[in-house]
Amino acid sequence: MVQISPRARLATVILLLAAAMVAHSLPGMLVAYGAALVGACVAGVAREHGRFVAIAATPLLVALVVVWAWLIPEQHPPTYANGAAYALAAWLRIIACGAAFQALLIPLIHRPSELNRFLVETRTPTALAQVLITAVIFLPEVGRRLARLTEARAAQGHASHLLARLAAIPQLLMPLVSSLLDTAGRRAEFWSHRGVLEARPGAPAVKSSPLHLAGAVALGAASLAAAISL
Amino acid sequence: MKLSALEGPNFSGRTRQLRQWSGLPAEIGEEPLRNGGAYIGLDLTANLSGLAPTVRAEFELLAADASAAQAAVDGLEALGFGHCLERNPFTLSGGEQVVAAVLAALAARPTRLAIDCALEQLSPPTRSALLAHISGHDVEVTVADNRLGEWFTGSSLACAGAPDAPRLHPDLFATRAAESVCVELVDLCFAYVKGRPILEGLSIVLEPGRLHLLKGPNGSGKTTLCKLLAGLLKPSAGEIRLDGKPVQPWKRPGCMSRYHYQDPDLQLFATRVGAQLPTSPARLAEALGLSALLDEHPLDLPYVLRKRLAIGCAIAGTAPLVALDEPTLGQDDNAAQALRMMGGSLAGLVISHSNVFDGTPEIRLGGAV
Repeated sequence: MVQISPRARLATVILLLAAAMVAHSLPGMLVAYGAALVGACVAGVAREHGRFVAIAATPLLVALVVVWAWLIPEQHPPTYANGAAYALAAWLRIIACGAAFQALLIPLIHRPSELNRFLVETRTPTALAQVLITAVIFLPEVGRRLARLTEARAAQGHASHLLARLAAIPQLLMPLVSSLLDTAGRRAEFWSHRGVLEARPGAPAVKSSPLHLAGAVALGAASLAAAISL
Repeated sequence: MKLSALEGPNFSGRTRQLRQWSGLPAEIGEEPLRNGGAYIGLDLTANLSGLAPTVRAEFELLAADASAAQAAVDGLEALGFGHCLERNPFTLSGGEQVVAAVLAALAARPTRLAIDCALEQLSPPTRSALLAHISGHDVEVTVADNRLGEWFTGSSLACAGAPDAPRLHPDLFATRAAESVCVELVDLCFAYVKGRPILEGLSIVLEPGRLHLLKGPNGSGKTTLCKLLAGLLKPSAGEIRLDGKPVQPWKRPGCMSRYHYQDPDLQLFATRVGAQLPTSPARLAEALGLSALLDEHPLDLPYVLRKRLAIGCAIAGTAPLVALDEPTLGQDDNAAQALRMMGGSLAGLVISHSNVFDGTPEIRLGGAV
């Protein structure tokens, strides 16, 4: 994945979102989506975006076309030729915003170290940073521990088929919650003791290419300008 | 490096002393003291940040500077664990996690490093190599270890034991006769990642009614073998035979062999110690030194007693075999010897890097130990 400074990424995503929101024609919306798509690809989330378009956004497109082209065909804004064009533009706006949010959030959620870097660079207070990071690593942690608890029950000779596993969930909750709380306390202690959430003057800098940095912001700015002028 | 050691039985306050020496509060919840210290304990999840997707990223996250991070990478490769660099720290074996945690701690250039029983998880060559690596750093190291006598030659500070500490009574358990079943593993293969087998063509025979000591370097597949025997994993090839007949333990996990995890947590489900022990809880609890704690919540017990309780769950089951993963971890010499005596009534596998189980039939994995 290309390393882009978290601040530059945030700025780019804001520009891309602004472009998607201010575009008022089909060509403008296409440009905004194209730029957001490039941003998603650069951030390494093209596959996730593809899934989002296929599973969530495409059924929405069908619904929008049905509404604006057939049910209320004359209700579209005058800048669009017909209801179908307006439906398509609305859909492009949604997937452009989706791509921009995915480019911002997915790398942070999938790579908590990226989030840590982001929080350090934005000078987020340590206590708030601890809460945010704990929240982000919470779900994978729950998944890992639940898998281990289920395996441990099977190791003790309990039935391990799907129904038995579902029936055993209440019994797993107590050790799950207890261990999560215990680990959260120990992690917070570890982070405080080792200074994980603090900017360390000599900490190895992640290499952010100036080209990528400038390119990312230019992409957002260009798409905004195009969306306004088209 | 200045190396010193804390010696003493369980419940002698070694952990508390080490925590305070490294700058951590005596109890979790208070603010740590930033004295340039680092603490590595038996709870492996607490030795890692939980933030890094790979070991390399963990080094970069905790390192004082880029050269320290690179030194940690070089150190891991020099110790023979280079293959762990791009792996998620939580997928490593216990010993690999300890090595990674120590190198990550050293990368922060601490002035003092406390290692609380974690070295017990390392094979002797890995432990020697790791200590030699640490000696190249300007750091004061204090180690608490229940097997100090096996490797430490310097002078140590003795901690007095608590007179009312729960003691094991192995004689109450040792009357049980071990199950006499013959287990054969024939050309067994297993890989977590396709193309990178951890066990390949393994063929062994377990003598009926005997506990076998499973030895091998860290990451050689000892835990994997125990899980295969317990049916928690399915071999990619090969056969498991029980009294000459092929069996498929993965279809009914836990029925042929009970597995005791290295980490006692996440395997205790009951709300009372007595309810956690499957058969004759009063007698077994007395054997394990838990008789006064039958009504306590298992998760309220200290690590040492949780470990004993988890061992109790495995050895009291109805399966003919057991697979005990580092049962002596964190247990002092008296407790370890008692567990060894109890092992005389068991059949199956035991993983241990200490000398406690020496004399039991050995199975070696991954070349020289």
